[in-house]
Amino acid sequence: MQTLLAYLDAGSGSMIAQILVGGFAAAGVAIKMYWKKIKNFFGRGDDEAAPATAKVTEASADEPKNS
Amino acid sequence: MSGSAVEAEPGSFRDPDGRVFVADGKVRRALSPRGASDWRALSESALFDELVSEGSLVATTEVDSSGAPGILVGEVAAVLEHERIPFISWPYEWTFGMLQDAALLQLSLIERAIAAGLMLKDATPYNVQWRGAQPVFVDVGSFEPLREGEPWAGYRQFCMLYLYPLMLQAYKNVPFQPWLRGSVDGITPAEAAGIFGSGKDKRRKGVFGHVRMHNRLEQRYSETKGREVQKDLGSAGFSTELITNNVRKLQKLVRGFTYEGGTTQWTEYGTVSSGQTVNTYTDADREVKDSFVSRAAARRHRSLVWDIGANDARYSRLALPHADYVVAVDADLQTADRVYQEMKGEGQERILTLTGNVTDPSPSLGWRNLERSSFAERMDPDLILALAVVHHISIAGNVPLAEVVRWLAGFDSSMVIEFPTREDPMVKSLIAAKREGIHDDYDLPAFESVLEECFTVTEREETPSGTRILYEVEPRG
Repeated sequence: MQTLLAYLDAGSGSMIAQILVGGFAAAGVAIKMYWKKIKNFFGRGDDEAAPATAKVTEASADEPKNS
Repeated sequence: MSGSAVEAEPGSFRDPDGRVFVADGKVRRALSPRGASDWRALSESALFDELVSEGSLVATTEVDSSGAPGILVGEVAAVLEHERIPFISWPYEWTFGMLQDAALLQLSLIERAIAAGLMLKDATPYNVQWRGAQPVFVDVGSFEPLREGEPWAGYRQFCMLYLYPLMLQAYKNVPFQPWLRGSVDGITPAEAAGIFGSGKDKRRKGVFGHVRMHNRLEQRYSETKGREVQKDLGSAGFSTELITNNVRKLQKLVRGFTYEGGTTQWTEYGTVSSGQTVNTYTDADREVKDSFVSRAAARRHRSLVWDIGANDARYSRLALPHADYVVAVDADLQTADRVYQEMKGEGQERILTLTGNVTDPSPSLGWRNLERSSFAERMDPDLILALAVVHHISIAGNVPLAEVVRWLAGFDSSMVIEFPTREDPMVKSLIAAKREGIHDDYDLPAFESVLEECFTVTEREETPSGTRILYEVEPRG
């Protein structure tokens, strides 16, 4: 896909946040991203983002009303 | 604003693909080659005609592109001409209901744009203006062709300038206007997490996802490049449908916001409550005042009337038949919001309700202090209604009476002004709250002498109660 950035900095965290607030359909994308990070974690030793995504994905499951 | 001079609008510089300028008194927009191609995608869509004809998008036509030299850094590929908005206002001058309706317009534009294969590149209330109580999206340059799989670039901005300010009023009962005036970019996710992140606010609708999680992710990914996240999102199957989902949920959230808007002293002012009028006028006073204002307003047709301390906008309405546009400003947020809701219900397109205090007007803000012009720079009325307001500025605001009159004279406009004497019950109660002798300058002979020095007084009438005097004045020279 193209990675054409807008004139506005969309914010890395904001881009991820918007899929997590997107409800049920978003869960699939979040899980896929999560798996990719896990694979990266073992494959490349990239330990930066994996725990964060895991934590947030878990947290989104117990969101009180907003899903 | 007249002649053939071409001046770039100082607030329109953030998007390099387009810039607004004023030439021959017309509002135009220069577009880069990319901006021009985005414009063609919009203008050729059925959505464009729909939005313009329902009034939610500023009317726009393409004109000859030769008249915009040097407006953009690069080549000017097209020039557009926009319908003129009668009075430009900024979100910190809007009421709660106005920001809420502007947010709903923004969200509906995104939803409809996506359905038409388009997208909006930003999400700022500064792109919304008003035709009376109707919100109008004025930035056609925001539209661009949709790129499937890309996240919504304006989501963060939407949160900062629409969502969090609305939450501030709805959840904390704290007005958003001072904050937006203090920060042109709005409330950051980190600030919002500080505001809403504890106690029962944590569990309020939308706080978990849009505030707390948003903030946590922003902190966590602050070092990660947007390009990488976008690539990851794309390969994980991010689809535009997710943006639509988010937008629909936001619509529901925003629509549900209410605030503790119980009646204040001023929302009841002028209305009859349990058989008793709650203002300090008698019916006879009111009749005299109504006919005085109507007569003065009808003297000739005006282009812009400024009603200071408009309250329920009674006098704005009286002036309306003789004016193109009326801006009704009141310092009381709830009163102004109630008037806005009324105007909206009536489909009023020629009275703009704003909130503001003349003793603390909107300053010039943003880049070079030119990005968002001050209230005084924008306000150029040919009739001012200063009714039941001089005593508030002078006594409650501690502005010397002579300065109030000289300040009004600076607008070089006709005016209807009301002076409540020291015997007036409202004046008495305002003075009673102060140290004795501190408002000795507030009296009728002193007022009339400075009024005559600054204006030509053409009409003068005392109300039957004798404590309020009405003047119709014309600027000198």
